[in-house]
Amino acid sequence: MLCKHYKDALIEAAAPGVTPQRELRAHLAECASCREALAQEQSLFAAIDSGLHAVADMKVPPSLLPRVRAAVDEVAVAPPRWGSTWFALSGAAVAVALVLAGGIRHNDPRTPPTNTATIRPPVEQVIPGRRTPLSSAGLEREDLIPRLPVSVAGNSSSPGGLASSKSMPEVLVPRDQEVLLARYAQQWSSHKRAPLVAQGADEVSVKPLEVAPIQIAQLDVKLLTEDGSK
Amino acid sequence: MQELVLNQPVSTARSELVRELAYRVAQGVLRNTADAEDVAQEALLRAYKSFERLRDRSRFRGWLVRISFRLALDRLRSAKRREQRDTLWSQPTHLPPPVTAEDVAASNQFQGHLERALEELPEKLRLVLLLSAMDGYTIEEIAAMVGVPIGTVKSRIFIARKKLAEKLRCYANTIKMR
Repeated sequence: MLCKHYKDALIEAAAPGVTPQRELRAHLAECASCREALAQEQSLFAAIDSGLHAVADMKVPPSLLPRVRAAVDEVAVAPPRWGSTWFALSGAAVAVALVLAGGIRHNDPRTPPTNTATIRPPVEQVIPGRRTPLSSAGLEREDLIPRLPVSVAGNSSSPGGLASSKSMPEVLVPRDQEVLLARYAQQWSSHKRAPLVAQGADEVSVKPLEVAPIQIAQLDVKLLTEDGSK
Repeated sequence: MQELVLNQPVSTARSELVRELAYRVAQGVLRNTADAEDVAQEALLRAYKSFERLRDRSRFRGWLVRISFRLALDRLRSAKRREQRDTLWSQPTHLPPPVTAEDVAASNQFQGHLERALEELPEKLRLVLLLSAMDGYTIEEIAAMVGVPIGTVKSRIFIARKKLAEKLRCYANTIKMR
């Protein structure tokens, strides 16, 4: 039989791990040319395998690990997208509420622009036990879980901060704000919660209460009407 | 998962294998160290982000192989990268030293032809052939990673080798029939 008939069989037999069939083995035993062809074909496959190993078994560059670590660190530091969105929405809602409350107060024609005593709780006491700011070092992924904005936390926690103080200063309030302050004091004593200024602004026809930068540890309100303003 | 990516002391050897796997798959497609490093980093980063979905080890390796391969192919198709890679082909500094038993493979020219022929293989054949060329992975592991039966892996390897041999035979100057 001509050697051409063994061409495909030779190619297949040259692959690693393949044993030539009996007929091919018999032909190879008596045909030196095909033996040489098989050897060359095996050499080709060996070259291919060697080249493939050179491609596939490349040594990992040592710079890969620091790069991956840095990339993972970036992911860990970056806040979640939904968290930042929630934070922005909360901040925007609070800002709108404050602007509306301020607009109501300032647009009220019955309110004189001056002569108002204001009470503002100290900033450090507004947020008792407040943690490190988000931008500080040592930030963890848990720290990036969206929290209430600082302004909202201050509103909700200010009574506790005030109540925890020991000094009890007196507050002088203009006559036209006495009713509102009285309501404030009444709610304060009954619910231990600070009413929102904006809630009472529409209901009462008096000037809204503003808060001044006075260092007050604890608020103790004495109504002027009881002392002699009658 | 994080220790797999970041080489925590929990499983140093395993994490090295994972990084090697991502890098070598990318390198097998791109044959460019910088590009392969970029792709491996991206693949490992995606694996890190998909932490919860990748607890199973066999699934994780298969996922990593596929994403590395896909990212590498995407990058390979970029015309700019192709141009850069062609210039690098003329300076193959990463080739192993010549082996006397494999004289043909010792030729850098043959290696270039081989890499081009590899690039022309169908994706399915190329991925399986690359994985089989890596040290340390059995046919069973490759089948698990790629998600096909063992017989399919064997046949793909055989067909891929045969296709490469057909394309490279003229360069190796073999098989002279009478």
